[in-house]
Amino acid sequence: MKINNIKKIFMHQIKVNKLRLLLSLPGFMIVILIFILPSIIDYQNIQLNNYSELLSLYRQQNPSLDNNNLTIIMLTDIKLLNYLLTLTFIIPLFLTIDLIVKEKEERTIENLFSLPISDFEILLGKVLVSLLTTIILIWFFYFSTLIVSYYYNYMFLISHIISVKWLFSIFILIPVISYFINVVAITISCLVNKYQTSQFVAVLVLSPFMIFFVLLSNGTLIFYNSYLILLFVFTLITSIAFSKISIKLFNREKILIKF
Amino acid sequence: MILTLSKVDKYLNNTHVLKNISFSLSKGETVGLIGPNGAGKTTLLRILATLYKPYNGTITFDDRDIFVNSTDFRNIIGYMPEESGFYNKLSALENLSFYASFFGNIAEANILNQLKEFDLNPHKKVGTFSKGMKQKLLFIKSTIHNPDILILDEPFNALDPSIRINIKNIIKNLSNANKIIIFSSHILSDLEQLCNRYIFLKKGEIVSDIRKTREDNSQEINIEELYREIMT
Repeated sequence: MKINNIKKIFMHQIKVNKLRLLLSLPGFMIVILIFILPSIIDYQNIQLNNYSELLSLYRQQNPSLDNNNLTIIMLTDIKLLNYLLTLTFIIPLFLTIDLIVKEKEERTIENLFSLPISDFEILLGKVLVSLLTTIILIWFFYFSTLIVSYYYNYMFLISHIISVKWLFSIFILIPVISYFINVVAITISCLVNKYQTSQFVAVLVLSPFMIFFVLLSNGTLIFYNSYLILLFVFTLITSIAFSKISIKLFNREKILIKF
Repeated sequence: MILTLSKVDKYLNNTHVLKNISFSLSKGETVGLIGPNGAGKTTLLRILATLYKPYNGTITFDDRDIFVNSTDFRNIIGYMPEESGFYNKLSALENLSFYASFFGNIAEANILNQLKEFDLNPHKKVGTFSKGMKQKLLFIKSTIHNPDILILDEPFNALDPSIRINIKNIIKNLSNANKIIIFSSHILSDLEQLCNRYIFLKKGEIVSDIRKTREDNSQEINIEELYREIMT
């Protein structure tokens, strides 16, 4: 495996998919302000099912906080953490499909396969683009939340955001989910030739997860910490299985015969 | 420098596409693959480009199996697919620079020279190119690294006469430089002018393998007549 080849594929994808624009900070500051500020400050406008039950659950965990601060912490978990987890499902799925299916649809893949580079190097270069873009975005959101919280002097919120639950979610769970979605996306991309079909399949795959996150974010399902552990175990185990499938499917002969 | 195919069989979607294909190619040989649609020409060229693996049989280059280290073998081949796209949002220069980057240090000036030779604007987005211009770019892409083996699948498709002459001259020069060239084309007159060997494929089998002798060079082989004789 040649690192230099993987780097070339990686840099090429950043250029072709114009990901530099996606990663430009000013645009993201706006997105962050739109999504983070209402969750933290304007919580009075947010409708939540099972509000009292959730509040008592959070009071048990943080007995020293008043109702106002407790609600902010609760909403940060329910809205923001959910939002970040949802993004972790959506971004790599569509990005990886875009990186592979577009090559097939625009018929650039045969030229790519004729280069002195292995299938695995091509795959890794593409996966790294999707994986790193997602992780950088999510981490950027996370650190921006810390900065915004500090700006408003919500020290109790900062101490909550740097708790084990958040650190585990941001630095362990999110990379694992991102990887899991990547291998699922590769599997879909190898089986489907048309971009629109692949997006339809992706939406079908995402649906159960999205329903789960919607129910969590409106309070219908109570956000227990054990859900994060369950999600971690599920994605880790299925990632291993899907890794094997995706490496087997991303084979130049199989792909060229199909299209 | 000998490329040898020995008893190569290939199935695609349960169809026996290539049957017991055996031949050797030596340096300086320019081989025309001739056959009707569905004869197995593209499959054979894709196998030589290590995009497909044979079901049975072996392919060696200087006695080394080309599939044992296919990545290294691809370093010395130039492959031009029948129909292939480029990254439309990138310029011709950016596209070629990306492909060339995998073949060691190919100077940008060299790429620019080639583009100039084919009258292509290096800074224009490939998405704005006509089919013929993309075909020219594809030819440059497959020869930019000066490969030892050139595999061309219908290289003259969609090309205007002046560019066809240009590409033919380059192929002749490469042949004189002792490269192995194998290509398929439905335009028999092109094959007649360029090749010193013809391999006729029918339903996945080699039905005839004809070498031009020195005597043949002085009196042209009528390939159309041969095609009619062999294929009917």
